[in-house]
Amino acid sequence: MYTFDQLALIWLAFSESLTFKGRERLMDHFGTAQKAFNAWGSKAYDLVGPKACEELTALHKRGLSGMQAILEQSDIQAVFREDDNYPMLLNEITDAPEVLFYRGAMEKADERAVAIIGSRRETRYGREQAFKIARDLAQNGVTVVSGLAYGIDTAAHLGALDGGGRTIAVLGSGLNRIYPKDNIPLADKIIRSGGAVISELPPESEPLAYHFPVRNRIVSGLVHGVLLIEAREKSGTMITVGHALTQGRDVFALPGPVDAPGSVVPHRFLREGARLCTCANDILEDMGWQSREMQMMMPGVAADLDDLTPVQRSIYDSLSDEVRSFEDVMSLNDLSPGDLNAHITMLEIRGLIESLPGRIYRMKRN
Amino acid sequence: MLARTLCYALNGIEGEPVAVEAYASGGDQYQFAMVGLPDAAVKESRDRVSAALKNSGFTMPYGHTTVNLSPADLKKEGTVFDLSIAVAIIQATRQLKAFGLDDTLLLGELALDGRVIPVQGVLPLIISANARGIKKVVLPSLNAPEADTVTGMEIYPVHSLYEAVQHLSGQMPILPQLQKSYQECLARTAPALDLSQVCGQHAAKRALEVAAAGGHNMLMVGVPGSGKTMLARCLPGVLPLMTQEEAFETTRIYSAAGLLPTGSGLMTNRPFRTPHHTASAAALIGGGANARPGEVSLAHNGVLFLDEMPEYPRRVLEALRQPLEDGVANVSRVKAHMQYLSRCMMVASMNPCPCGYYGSRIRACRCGSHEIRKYLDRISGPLLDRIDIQVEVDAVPIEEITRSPQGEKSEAVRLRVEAARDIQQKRFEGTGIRCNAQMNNKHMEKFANMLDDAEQFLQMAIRKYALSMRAYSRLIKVSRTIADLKMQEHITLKDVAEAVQFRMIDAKYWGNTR
Repeated sequence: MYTFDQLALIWLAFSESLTFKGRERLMDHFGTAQKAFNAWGSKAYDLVGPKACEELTALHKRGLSGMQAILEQSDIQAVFREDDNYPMLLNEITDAPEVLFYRGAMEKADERAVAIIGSRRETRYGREQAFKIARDLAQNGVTVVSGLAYGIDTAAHLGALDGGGRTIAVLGSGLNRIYPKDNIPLADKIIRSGGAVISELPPESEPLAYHFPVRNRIVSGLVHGVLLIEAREKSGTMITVGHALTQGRDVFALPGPVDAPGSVVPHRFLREGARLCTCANDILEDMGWQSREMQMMMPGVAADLDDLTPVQRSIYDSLSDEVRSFEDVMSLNDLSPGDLNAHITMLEIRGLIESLPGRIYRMKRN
Repeated sequence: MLARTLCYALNGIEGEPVAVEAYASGGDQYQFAMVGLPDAAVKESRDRVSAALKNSGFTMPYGHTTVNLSPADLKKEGTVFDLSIAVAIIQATRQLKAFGLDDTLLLGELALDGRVIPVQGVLPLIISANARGIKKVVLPSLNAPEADTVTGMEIYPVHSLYEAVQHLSGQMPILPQLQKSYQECLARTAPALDLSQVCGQHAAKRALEVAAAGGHNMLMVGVPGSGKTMLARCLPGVLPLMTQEEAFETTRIYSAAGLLPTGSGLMTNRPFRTPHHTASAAALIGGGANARPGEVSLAHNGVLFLDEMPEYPRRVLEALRQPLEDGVANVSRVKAHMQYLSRCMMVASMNPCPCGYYGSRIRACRCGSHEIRKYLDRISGPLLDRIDIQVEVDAVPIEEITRSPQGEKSEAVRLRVEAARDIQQKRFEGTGIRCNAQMNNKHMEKFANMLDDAEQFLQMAIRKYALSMRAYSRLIKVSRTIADLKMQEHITLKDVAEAVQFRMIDAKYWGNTR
């Protein structure tokens, strides 16, 4: 099903040590991958260097059908730059990968696509916002792209799935080496739900540290805009933002508490001109995508509080300004711990308040 | 001539009768043989006994002396046989006129100068002997307090072999020890850490009260320094005073394990055991060549406190499940197979995450959610399900520590707990269980007594918080305890609503990170 030339491109993609430069020299010399494969010999050594030459020679010996078999066995598909379903936005960037390996569904144009990136060691705030914004974007037909890492990435993928939308995970490792392993079920879920897990690396490639900065250009390349949620100093997300700026993508950042370590980088970008994002609607508006279901974004109808007992009403009201601890609520309402426990359960079951780790309670807003 | 005295050997926490026979056959060569499966310590008693005899004004017979400990197939350990061997030899060599010894138990180790020094396991030995109709016991004076509440037995404390023989032969009888009532013993109960010393923490204190009232296991989750350990240490003072039966059970285990301090009497304080997290499964459940009791049995009728629960090896925690569930630890080893009671409350504490500050308002947590999940996953679901009450303990702000008025005293809480326990005692009469935590499904059907709207509310809560079926029955038990604390016959909706808060950690920590 692949042409000879395409298979030859796969052959080149299977080499991990072939550099971008080496590849260019190869193409200049031979013209096409197919010709390079046919004329493979001593000349190549000068073009690509000893390491890549050795690797490509070994792959050359196994033959093109060998590599095709690996892809078929692992249920991996490849898409090429001239293909109809190669992502259009990605095709525009200067260093777009010749071949993309993927599982799931590839589309030429994700009509609306946003990447959500951020810290792997997120806070509850960051996680909740990433989830919520991804969900709301997904509900408005926006494809959410991220990196399948722990933290914000995971929350973004989960949010998009929850919103019933399409989401794409770009890996920094081969598709048979999904990293982190804990997220393998998430990757499966993404594929089943009509999204895709993609990588430019050969299937068995390990998640090495230097793969990720290179991977990041694909994350930003796939989308119209990049949203940054929580990043500490020296974060890898800064590289993604850098790629986004060179590729001419819009950069959004979500503000956080000024004294939190995860706010440092987003706030700096905001001062330098990134767009402020507080909810999915901010992105939809700025990108000129009308929110399809504006009412979804509107604040929810006021909760029905009429049948609360006076005590429950007063507990509910005491949480209106800020979150409070069990002890605070207890002394504000002059209740015994046993009674307060019972009231809290009733309010929670009604969906009016929720409890956070550390016995802290807050009013639930939708 | 042949003489016989009576001793008891320790087998687990039971005493087995051992007849000590001595036979002096004369002859012209000194020989002293000891038969009847003695271990090294028992064999050495030859030398101790002969020295003690000489230093007490008796002689060691010249010629052939055989001492037999029967039944010969029971393993004999320790030094408890010294006194009975010495007295048997004195009898066998007719150094005094014969005196009757069949009904008197002789316990004690001998020093070379003839002093009688204390031994391990006196209480279990006396209890077993008493059950078999033995009415008199001569024992080391330092062991006497241990037995001072045993009824139906005359207890003669002695200081030396000479004093023992003088008493037994009737030349200078001593008076039996005056036995105390159990109430008198209770008076010397030492006060535990008092609840009033714990500032704030009302939610945790309430959980502690409910746990104590129903005998429920408890898990405290909180930031470092929030007072989890202090709260746990308050628990013995909140639990009902030990009954005499319980005190005997517990003291017996300690005495057999050799952990009773010399000269101390019956244990009237509930035990509080805090095994370190490097402890092995054998240390917790019981083990060693002779299948000694483990921490879970040493905590019988008291509290087993596992500080920093996720630090314990998973295998050790899983091993705890069976003894906690059944109230009995079965310990099988090469030399012995033992069964020890282990009806204790397990109280565990843990941090909410590796850095300890997840959810804290005072300090920011440095952990990612996957790190938190990995940490929490060290506690298996089945184990978590077996912990009836889970409670979050938050750090108390400094200003609260200094300003907060003195809280309720342990004594006041204990009285409420005792009232709730009395109700349970009556309810479970004849069922073989003692408190709500021990109810099985059949008991629950019979005793839960839940109002209809409470039942409906419970169903709703189960769905809302996605709780397991096991959590469901735990909720009923805890609701029953809350109703008992209020002296209500029925479980009301409010009781269930409160009980739900004691299972919230499940959903809050384990739920949302998964």
